[in-house]
Amino acid sequence: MFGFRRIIAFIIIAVLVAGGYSAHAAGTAAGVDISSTAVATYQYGGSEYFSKTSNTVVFTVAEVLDVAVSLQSATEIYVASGASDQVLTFRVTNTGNGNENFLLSVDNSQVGDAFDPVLAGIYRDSNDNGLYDAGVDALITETGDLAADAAMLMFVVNNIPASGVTDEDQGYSSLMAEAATGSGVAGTVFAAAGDGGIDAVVGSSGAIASYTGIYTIADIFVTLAKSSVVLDSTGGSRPETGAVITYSLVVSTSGTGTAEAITITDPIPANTTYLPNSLELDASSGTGSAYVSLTDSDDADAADFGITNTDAITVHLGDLPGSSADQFIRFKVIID
Amino acid sequence: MKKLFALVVMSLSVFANAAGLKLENMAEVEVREVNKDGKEIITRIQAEKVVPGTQVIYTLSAKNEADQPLNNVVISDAIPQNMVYVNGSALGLNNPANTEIIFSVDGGNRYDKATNLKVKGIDGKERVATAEDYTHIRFVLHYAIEVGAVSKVSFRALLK
Repeated sequence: MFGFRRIIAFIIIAVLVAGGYSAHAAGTAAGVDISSTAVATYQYGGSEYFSKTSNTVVFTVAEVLDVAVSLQSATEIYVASGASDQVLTFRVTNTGNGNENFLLSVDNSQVGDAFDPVLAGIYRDSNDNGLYDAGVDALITETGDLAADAAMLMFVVNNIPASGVTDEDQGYSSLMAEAATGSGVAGTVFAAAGDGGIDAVVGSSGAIASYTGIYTIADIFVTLAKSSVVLDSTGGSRPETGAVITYSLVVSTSGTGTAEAITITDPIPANTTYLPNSLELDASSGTGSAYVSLTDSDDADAADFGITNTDAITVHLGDLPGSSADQFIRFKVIID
Repeated sequence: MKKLFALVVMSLSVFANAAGLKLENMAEVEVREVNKDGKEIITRIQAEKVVPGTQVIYTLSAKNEADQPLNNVVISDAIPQNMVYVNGSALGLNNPANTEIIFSVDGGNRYDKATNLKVKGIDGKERVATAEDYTHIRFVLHYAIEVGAVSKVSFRALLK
């Protein structure tokens, strides 16, 4: 008989939950008693009226186990291969009607992505500043008791593999939160497991929820090196008035990606004057052996002096894949 | 305070609590089961632990335990806290044609047909009351309950 009753209870609640529970985030608080007493008046015999009160019926609001997980950071985060402590920010919300602890886990081995991020840990926002602070935010594996409708901000911190990834590869990282009382098909009853010993019932979320963030490899590295040579009037290298300084800039790219719209700007140093039409670029040889002169005006060539930026040279190198030849830029100034 | 007391005493004397009618209240929820033939059947069980979003069916049974017919029977019930009346759910099960269903939006002071009830909206203007506004429901039986007979009325309310 006992077993039969249990089955009945299970089925009822499944139906009821399906009947539109989602309209309310939490609904009436778990454990509340709802009572009802009716009254009837009537005429008996002649014209005398009488009144009768009914018995009082009472039921208790069961605890609904429900949870939602959302991503607070951008859905897609750009990272370099080998980068450590890359943060995805999530929010876990108790959408049930009672107090509940939610167990947290991260799945980095999902299908459909090109690489697996390596979990460093899940951290709660201990100082409530919305940002991950290493050493400050506490490592967690569960939310602890969250009141109905309460939410907790947390950070899933991953390391990105250094090898085996190329530009634009994606790696998925999913945070899952599951009611500690239990999860399963909506309507599943955990007898007496809810707040204050009432029944806990799995809600429409299944009492388990997850959300996936994406890391996208942006694998491109750009370095800039600058050097100078001084030539004085006697052919020596003393930095005296009238001496000419030749500055050389080398832009190097590496990696599997492409650096987009690279622009190099270099101000003319104080106490020197730019030597007109001295700007040159070697975009092809990769060795600085094939310089081409560029005009100072803002025209079809890639560079100008003093127009895009005041008293500075500006060179637009455009998009440079990691495999590009090193870009050599050269210009001269005269010491005042 | 004195006035209120007098009023209570008076109402007690008017509605003398005599034997004659027995009013039974029942709260149930529906259970959907699939039988051996794969058909879905709906049965009801007593409401004990209820999940928000559930409809509870209240059935009130008035039994005539007197020795002559009972006239002008009026059954009133509050829509419980945290619950909302389900539109169109009220039924006079025994004699629907002669069961008048009216509502109150002021805690049971005044009852009227649903279409005559007005409440103030958020904008301060009066509007026709909706199920969300009902605080009480009343069944007015325009027929006598014969000796030994049971007359049932019911309605549904949704647990918020």
